[in-house]
Amino acid sequence: MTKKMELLRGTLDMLILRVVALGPIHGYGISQRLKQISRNVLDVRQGSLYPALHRLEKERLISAEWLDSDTGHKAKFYCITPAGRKRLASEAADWETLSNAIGFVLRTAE
Amino acid sequence: MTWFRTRRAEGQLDDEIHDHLRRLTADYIRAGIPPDAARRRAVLEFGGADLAKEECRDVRSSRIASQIARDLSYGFRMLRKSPGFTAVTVLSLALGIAANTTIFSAIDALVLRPLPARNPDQLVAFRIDDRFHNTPNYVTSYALYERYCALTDFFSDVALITPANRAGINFDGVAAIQARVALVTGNYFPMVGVGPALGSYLTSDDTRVFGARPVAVISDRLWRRELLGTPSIAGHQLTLLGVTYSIIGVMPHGFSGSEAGKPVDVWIPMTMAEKAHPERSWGRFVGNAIGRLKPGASRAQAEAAAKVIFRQSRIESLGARATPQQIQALDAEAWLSLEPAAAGYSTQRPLFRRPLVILTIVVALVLLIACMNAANLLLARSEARRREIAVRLAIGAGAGRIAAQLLTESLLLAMIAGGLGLALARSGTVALAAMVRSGPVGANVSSISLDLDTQMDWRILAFTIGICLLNGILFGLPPAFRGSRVALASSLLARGADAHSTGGRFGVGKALLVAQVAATLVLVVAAGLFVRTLRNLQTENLGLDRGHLLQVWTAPNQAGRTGARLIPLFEKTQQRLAALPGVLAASPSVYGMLNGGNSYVGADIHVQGFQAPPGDMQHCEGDIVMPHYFDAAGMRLLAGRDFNTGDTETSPPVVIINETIARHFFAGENPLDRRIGFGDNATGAEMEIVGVVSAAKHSNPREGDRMVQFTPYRQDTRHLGQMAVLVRTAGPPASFFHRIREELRAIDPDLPIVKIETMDEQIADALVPERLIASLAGWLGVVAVILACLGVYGVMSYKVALRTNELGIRIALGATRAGVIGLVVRESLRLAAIGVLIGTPLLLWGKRLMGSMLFGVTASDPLTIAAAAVLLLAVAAAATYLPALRVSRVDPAIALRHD
Repeated sequence: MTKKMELLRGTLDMLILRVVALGPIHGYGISQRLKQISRNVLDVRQGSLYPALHRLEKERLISAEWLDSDTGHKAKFYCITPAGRKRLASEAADWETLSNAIGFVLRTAE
Repeated sequence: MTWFRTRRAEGQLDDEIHDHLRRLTADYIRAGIPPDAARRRAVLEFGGADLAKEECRDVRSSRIASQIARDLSYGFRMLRKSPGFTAVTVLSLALGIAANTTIFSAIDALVLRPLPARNPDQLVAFRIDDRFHNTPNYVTSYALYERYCALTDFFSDVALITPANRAGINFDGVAAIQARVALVTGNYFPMVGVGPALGSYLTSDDTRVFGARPVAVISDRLWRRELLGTPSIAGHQLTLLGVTYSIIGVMPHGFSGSEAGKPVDVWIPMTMAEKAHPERSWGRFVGNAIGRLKPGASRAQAEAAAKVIFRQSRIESLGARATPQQIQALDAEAWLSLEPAAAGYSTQRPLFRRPLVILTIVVALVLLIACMNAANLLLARSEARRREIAVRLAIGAGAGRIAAQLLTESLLLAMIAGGLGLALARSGTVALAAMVRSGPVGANVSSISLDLDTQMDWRILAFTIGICLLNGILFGLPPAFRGSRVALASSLLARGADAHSTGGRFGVGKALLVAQVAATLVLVVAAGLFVRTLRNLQTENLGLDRGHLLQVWTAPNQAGRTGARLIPLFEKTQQRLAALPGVLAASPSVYGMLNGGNSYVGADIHVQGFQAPPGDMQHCEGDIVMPHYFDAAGMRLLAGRDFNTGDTETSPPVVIINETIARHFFAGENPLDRRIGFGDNATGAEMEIVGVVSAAKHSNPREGDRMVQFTPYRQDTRHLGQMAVLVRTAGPPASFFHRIREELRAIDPDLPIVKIETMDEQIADALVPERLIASLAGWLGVVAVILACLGVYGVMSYKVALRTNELGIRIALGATRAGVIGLVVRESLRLAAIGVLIGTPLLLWGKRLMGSMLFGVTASDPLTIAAAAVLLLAVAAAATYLPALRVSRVDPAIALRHD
């Protein structure tokens, strides 16, 4: 079984934004998508997913809408807002810089 | 709105989580897991839906508001679930809050509420204190007032206003009513800086020429009552002593003059004085001076300047031949100061200050007791709710949330109590106002009657809300603090295992109980002392025969008649009332008996041939009476004779002294035929002593042996103005009221009858401050005892319940029921005894405060303290007996299994 990793603090928001940016998606979909994209490495506990979603919604980085879904029930679908896209771009860039720097340090320090 | 949004958001959160679980379950089923197991696994994986919900709520914008709303609704549910607890707590707190608000309303009306004036901080009253009275006065002659006006360096203006005098007035020729009339200098309203609500106010133009401007400004109260609040006041008139005044304006609501507790209804120009106060010549005219300090001038500077003028005018009154000793004596007699008058001035404040301070402490104590009681009940309840709280903690509620919830509940209790208390306080304030208004009649004395404006204002509201919040937090904190630290494991496990640790845990409850008993002891003792004081005063030997005695207070001076013109009225009144069937004696006097005030003259006594040792200056009160006065009063003539019809304007001046004067000046000698004089300029040769009467209380039951002299009415006609008739009856005096009223109407239809009352009622009126304290402290003492009873019952029931197991073992091992009951009762007695021991020294601390208000009993009266202590111990034992009895009846087998 693959080793599951705890998410770094602050990175969950970025990952959610990235997933939501792909199109309207409900909470369960987001958790499944994260698991799938990370090839089961990242396991987002639901206990932190929903509070994060609500926080992002309150900050108006994502918006939510109740739509009919495949199960026949209404589900809450999240979409990214323009402000969310901007935040995603800047965080992704920051992450890129940071991970490059860390990777560089780890590689060259040997 | 927020509430609605919260409800919706809450529902959506549930839906969203359900949706998630449904999808997760569906995926597991698709993977081949049986539906039931799939659902379980989904829930398990989701991990604490409540926690997630909680955190989601935490990020929501309306979080605080919604949390409060949820806590409130939860709190309401919890309070509804235990109506007994809620009722007791709310009622006791409401009583405490109502008592506090009532007393605060009185303080507000008498001391705090500022005049609705421009820059009230600049206003000062010219206050005079003298060594004969324990209350100040603000009496300034017109001549002196004019000299103050010249101090333009310090005052931007000084005005003079006469104290409000009751007078009969007519409105538009109909409806004769009693109203309080004051005369003001033209600059009074502009100086105070309060404009008319309607029409115009009086100005200097109205006071330029004597008697030229018969105009009047009326109060909002009178306008609403008599003119029904009509906006067109033009053409309306009022008649006072035969003079018709045009009403030119109405003052705004909330302005009733500058003297606190003595509202004015009608203001007329000072230049109408000779018409409105015919008994006073202009040269003798007096009023209260009130001034406005110039911006930049300090009160101290102005006071120094005014003092110089005050002293000069007094020295001038001595005449040119004043000796330095006389001047020195004068300086020591009376002194002027400028008193800040932002909230008006009042001669009554010093009289009511100590009662109000005591009442404030009493009501604060009651509230404290109610508060401790509530804390204890809450504490006991939070112990009972440990399981509930533990469950809530276990499913993920934060400790802070639990504390907030418990605090919300206590604040909710306090606020409900506050609302109820505010409503109760309204009736309390009205009752209190009625009580202080009922003070005795007596125009020329500083009467202790107060007419408080008890309307609600923001200060009272803020005060009430303030004490509610303070209370809610005070009694809510201990349970909240402890509730949030409930030990999870032990609480969820069997309670019995926890019982041992609970003993220490409940120490707070015990400490609260001890404190409650201590505070209750202080209150009960104080109540006992004040009730006994009142009883002592009511039953004090007055030196007169008070049964079957009544007094009729009339005021011919209000109808404009004074002086020698009143002699026929006095004589006719005596004749006709004495002739009524059932009346044994009737005698008019000028000042009346037991009018409750301080002395009206306090004149120096000069006795011919008696050289007073230095420093021995005796002062004396007096009255002007008709023959048979002493018969009517039930005073004994010890020597000499009563006045008779031979004592007239032309016969030699005579006087009757009381035995206190006789003892001091004529110890062992015969005072008859000796000569005596009263007043500053008396030589001692003025009057011949023709009789000595037994000593009797003159003004109020509290006074000690006072020196009192009586003069016959025809020899002192200058002071005839009021007429108080003392009537001794054969039957119950109250049954004569109607006939006496009819008779007086027949004698003189225009005679203003102020009041007819029995001597017992008169004494009750004279004892208003004492009655106020005794009744309030008494009733609150009863409340405190009931609360103590509830507190002990609540705590001991809980403690006993915890010990059911142990007590069951004792019974099983052969302890008798009586032994078990004794065990429990002894514990509660021990707590109560500690409370009593702590409370007793507190009493000694309050001794100085109460001392001067007591009569015939000392603050450390052992009997009262012992009685209160026994009462509290008995209450503690009684309140414990029931729970003890209950536990002793439990079958040991059940008790042993009790968890």
